[in-house]
Amino acid sequence: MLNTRRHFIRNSASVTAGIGASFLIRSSASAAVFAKSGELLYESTEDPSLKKLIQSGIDAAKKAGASYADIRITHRRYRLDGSPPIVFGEREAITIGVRSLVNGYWGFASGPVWSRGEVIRLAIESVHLARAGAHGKFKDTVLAPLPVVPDGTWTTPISIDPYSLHPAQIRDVFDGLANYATSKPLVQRFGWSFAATVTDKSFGSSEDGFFSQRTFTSGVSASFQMADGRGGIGGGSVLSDTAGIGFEIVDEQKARDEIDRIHAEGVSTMPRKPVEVGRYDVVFSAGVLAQIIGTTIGSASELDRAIGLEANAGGTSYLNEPEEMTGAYPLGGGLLTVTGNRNEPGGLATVKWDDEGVSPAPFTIVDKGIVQSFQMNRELAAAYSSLDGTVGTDTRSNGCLYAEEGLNIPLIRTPNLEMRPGDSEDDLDSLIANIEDGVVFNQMSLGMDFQQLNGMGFSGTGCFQIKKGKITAMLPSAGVLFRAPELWKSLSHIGGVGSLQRTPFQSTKGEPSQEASSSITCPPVICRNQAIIDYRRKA
Amino acid sequence: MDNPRLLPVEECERVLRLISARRPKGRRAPARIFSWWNGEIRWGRNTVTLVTARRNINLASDAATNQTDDVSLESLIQADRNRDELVKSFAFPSLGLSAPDLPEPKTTIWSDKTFDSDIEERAKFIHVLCDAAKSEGMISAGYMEMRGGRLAMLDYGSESIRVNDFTQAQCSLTVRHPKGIGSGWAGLSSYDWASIDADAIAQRAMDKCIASLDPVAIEPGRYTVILEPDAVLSMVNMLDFSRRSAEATGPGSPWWLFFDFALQKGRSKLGLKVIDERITIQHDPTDPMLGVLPEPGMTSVKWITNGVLTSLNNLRHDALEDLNDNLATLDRFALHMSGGETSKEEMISSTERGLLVTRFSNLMLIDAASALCTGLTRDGLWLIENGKITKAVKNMRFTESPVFLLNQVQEMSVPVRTFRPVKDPSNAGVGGAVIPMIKARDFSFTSMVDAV
Repeated sequence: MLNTRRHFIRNSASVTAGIGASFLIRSSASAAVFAKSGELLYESTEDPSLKKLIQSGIDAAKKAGASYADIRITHRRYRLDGSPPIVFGEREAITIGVRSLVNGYWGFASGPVWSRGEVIRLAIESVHLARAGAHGKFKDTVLAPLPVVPDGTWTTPISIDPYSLHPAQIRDVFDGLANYATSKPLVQRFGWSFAATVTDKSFGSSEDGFFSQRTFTSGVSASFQMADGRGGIGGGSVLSDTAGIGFEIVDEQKARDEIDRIHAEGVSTMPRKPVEVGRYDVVFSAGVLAQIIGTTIGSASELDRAIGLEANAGGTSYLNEPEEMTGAYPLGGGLLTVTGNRNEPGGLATVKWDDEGVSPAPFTIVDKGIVQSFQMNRELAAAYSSLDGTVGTDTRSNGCLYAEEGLNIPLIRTPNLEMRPGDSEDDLDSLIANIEDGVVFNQMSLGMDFQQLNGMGFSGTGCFQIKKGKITAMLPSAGVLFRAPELWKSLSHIGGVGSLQRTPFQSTKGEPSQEASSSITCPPVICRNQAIIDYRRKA
Repeated sequence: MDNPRLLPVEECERVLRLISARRPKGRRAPARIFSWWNGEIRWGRNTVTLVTARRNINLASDAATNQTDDVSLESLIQADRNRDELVKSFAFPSLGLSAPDLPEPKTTIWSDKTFDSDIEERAKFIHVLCDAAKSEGMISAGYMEMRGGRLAMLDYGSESIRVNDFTQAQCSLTVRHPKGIGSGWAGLSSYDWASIDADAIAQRAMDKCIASLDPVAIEPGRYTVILEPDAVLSMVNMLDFSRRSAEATGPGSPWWLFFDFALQKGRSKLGLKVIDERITIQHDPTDPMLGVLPEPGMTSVKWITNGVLTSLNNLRHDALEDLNDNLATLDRFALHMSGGETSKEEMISSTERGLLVTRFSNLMLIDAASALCTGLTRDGLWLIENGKITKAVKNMRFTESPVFLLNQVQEMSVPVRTFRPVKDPSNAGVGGAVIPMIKARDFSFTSMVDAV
């Protein structure tokens, strides 16, 4: 059984002795002044009476006139620690949101109190708001069918719960790495950070669905700097990842190996050259390509964005005629296949059920260069029933609805994406060896337009010249200009399965804007004949 | 009051005093409670897609929670104690002097019209707006928000609790041609819904969409530009007034904007002319156009006075050590930029060849030392030839620095309130912006983009 906050206080002596798990423990969820006095207040999302609480809200929404209603209850805890100037910090948020459908229009009300009175109030308010939004003829809003989950539970599979560790234990691990790095000659500074989020979410709907799931996210960053005092600098990142796993994300041996490897490389003697603007073959590392996939395929194939519902927020999409484009639009060449999923172990978007109870199945977004489907929720899956490749009325959402917490309205968000690797055993080095005269981007800042169509990438210290298959110079001022379909059609080589790498991808969407993360797994690639520019050069 | 939108003042005081009495002694951040309510309407494809009402609180000591019951408060205090244990070996920089006990400025940030606005009334307005777009064969998408907030703070070691209530209203919309061959945008934010003419915003977005249809491509290059206030604001937002010490930047790595490379004295450009002498940029908390949440000792800060850099954004530590001052100027980012008296029509009529820009988007900083940034035009770009708008043109990517732009100013309009809402309701901070339209020479467009 998980600790409750009351257990925590009873056992606070053990916590201060360094044994306990968390500083902010599960709350009793009672912003008391918002709740009516004497009401039952709930301890955690594992409290079985929460199902009754949700049912109270569902009943109230239906009684008030909702044809459909769902409720999300979340308890989210976040912890961050790191080397100075980062100072240890913790926060938690406990929220509840009710979404009601009335005459085809949506209303949503949310707040910080888990109580019967409050959930009923929110339910009635959400119905009232939906009615206010209605105009003219009722909308024919249909939700795509789903197998109802009557009582599900699920937890992200992890090895080490970060909240089972005292912060001092976490700090001790990084102190060890810092000591290891700074004991080496010329090493000047070692910096690190570790962040962990655990979210408990319970969901119930008027279709008798109910589930609780707990998801974990951990993020780590560690790097060191070295200098020879004569202007030469070195060092680099030894750990950098964010994934849906626990503290096992901190691989101490890997970090030590990276410290050894980077230190052995010494201070950089790589010459720096100005870029000669022109057309070149370009190698994109897996981490760089993930950002390009995330924007030009991930964000671009969100169906609400594609049909213009996000036009006043994040923008629209060049994939803007979903019915005509599905199964027909040549986004890239035959080497490009990208699938979406929410079930890969460790993925940042991995869940058992999405935010309206859909159990997401993997789906193909681009197959051999042709657009195959868009990311959908139940409402848009029903409205665009031909887009999921099914026939007749057997249309399904592919489970992309997500909100960080109960306070927020759920939106269609990019799932984990995976690009199919090549059949060869190519990796980044062998792809570079393939290039006669070109550049490689190992890092890149990417700026897309508001349709995810035209991009400009630049790096600073992560772009290098390739001559006759070898890296010969750093190109600090080099950038790349591209148009998404042309870029994907220029794909000539892709790394093999051994070169696949998973990279975190974060995007912002909606009004008010919300963040969401997913994981993108892809190999390094070669794109031919790309426009390389001096990104600092003005007209 | 049953189910109040904001946490009652008495409850804020009870919680803060309880925390103050029980939190461990030592260097502590102020304890604060931030309570907010948001009423939101989204629409897309000419129909309302969502109407919401949300409220939340944030209680921050060193840790943070959104619960105020006794058990949660005890947990928060315990978290402070445990944190002290964890970080006791760290050396925090000493401020040397205690914070001065200064009064808060009187600011204008509350509007009953905003807080009490009726949801049915707002929704009806959106319906009219959607119908208007539909009747023109266009597609409208937008967002309207009313917000109320209460920030209560108790400084460490102090007895007095400061409570400030504020409101925010915003409305923006994008009108697009269904075939994606034209797009127009307009928006405005203010603490006071009564000061937002939503009809005018809607009409402006519609007019821009219609005028932007069927854009033609032109060559990238340097153009005289007439930037509407929202475009100017995007560029001014990229000015970084941060002052960073040599220790922070590292010797020989002055990557911050207002470092004086020419003098080679390792110092900033304070006191030097950095942009056009007609321009003053200031943060004045008493400016009713800005809607600033007050703090003790918050005074007017003039970042730029007649083109001269006169203030930098100081941590109090830096102010004490280097500037013989006892006040931080952090987070004074409500902006009022001086202007001129030239109208938009006069600017256009005096332009032989140039571009009229509605707004920029997707800005990215690519060189901090010069504030060089890249971004895109969006929602309306027109070619001006011989004093007249002659055609809509396709969007372009630019590569330009706001410092360069503000040194190339030819004319300015009377400054107006712009669209600058605080996006995250849990953030009580930044205020509005009052910005002129400007006409400037030699703005650098580096490539054409075919996104509309």
